[in-house]
Amino acid sequence: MDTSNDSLVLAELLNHVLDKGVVLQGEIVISVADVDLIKLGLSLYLSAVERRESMSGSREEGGTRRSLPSPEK
Amino acid sequence: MLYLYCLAPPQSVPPPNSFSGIEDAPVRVIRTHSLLAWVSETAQAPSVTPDNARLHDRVIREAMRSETPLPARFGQVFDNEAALRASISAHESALTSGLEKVRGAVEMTVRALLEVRSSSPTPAVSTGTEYLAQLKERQKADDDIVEKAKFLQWRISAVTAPFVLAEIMGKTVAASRSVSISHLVARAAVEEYRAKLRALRDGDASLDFLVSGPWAPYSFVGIPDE
Repeated sequence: MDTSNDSLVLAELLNHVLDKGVVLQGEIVISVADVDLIKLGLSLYLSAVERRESMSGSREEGGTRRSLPSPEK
Repeated sequence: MLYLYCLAPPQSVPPPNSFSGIEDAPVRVIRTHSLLAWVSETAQAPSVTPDNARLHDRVIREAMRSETPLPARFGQVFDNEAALRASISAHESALTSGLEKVRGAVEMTVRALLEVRSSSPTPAVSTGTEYLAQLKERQKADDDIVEKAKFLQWRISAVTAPFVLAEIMGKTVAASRSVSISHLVARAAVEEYRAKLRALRDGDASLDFLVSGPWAPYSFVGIPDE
């Protein structure tokens, strides 16, 4: 799978599961394994888009832009 | 302890027997008066890792196969079943309303990166006047991003409106030059929704955005204060 798309999908996934959704408790205790994943997610997103732009070429040259796959499986 | 993935309508299909979630723990449901809570056993709150985030979402997607659930935010654990039932009971009315609101729908997300006027490299400042001038220039660039974001959001909304049940505009993050829009879309309308956005993007070289989904309706499930 395209690495840049992997990063974009991960960034969107993190944005959804960490920042949204039902909260039944007043506080959620999150232990971060290694690094700040929210910041990492955003960095992944930005760097992935930059990579995508450099890889895809111009529209006239047949570069394609497509929807992100859902991050299933 | 119990780890919570989502809250599904009472008529929804429970997970298959062999289905597992975070820490490879079997996923099961706890049935309450008005919904099914999808949970697994855990010794402690799971770490935030890409794999755990994927597993969290994967379980929710399994629940989505039959009915649209209310996805839980990552990281919620409860001491035991009684504690979970008490929390659910405390928000029962809002949860029931929430399930009704998202019934038959999914979330689609549009995220765009915004081009901004290129500014000249920031020179070193040696006077207060130069510093203020730089601040002003940065503010103009940020204002430019915000205006572009509003215009892009308007254009996207215009083509997707017929298919959108609810819409949430993400905050424009000037530093990241990105803006997002979350849409609640009926499942049956997702392909038309995608097609409209594809046509919009293909018809205007100045537009650059990415569409992701379908997601569980993470953005549309907040519990209001009761």
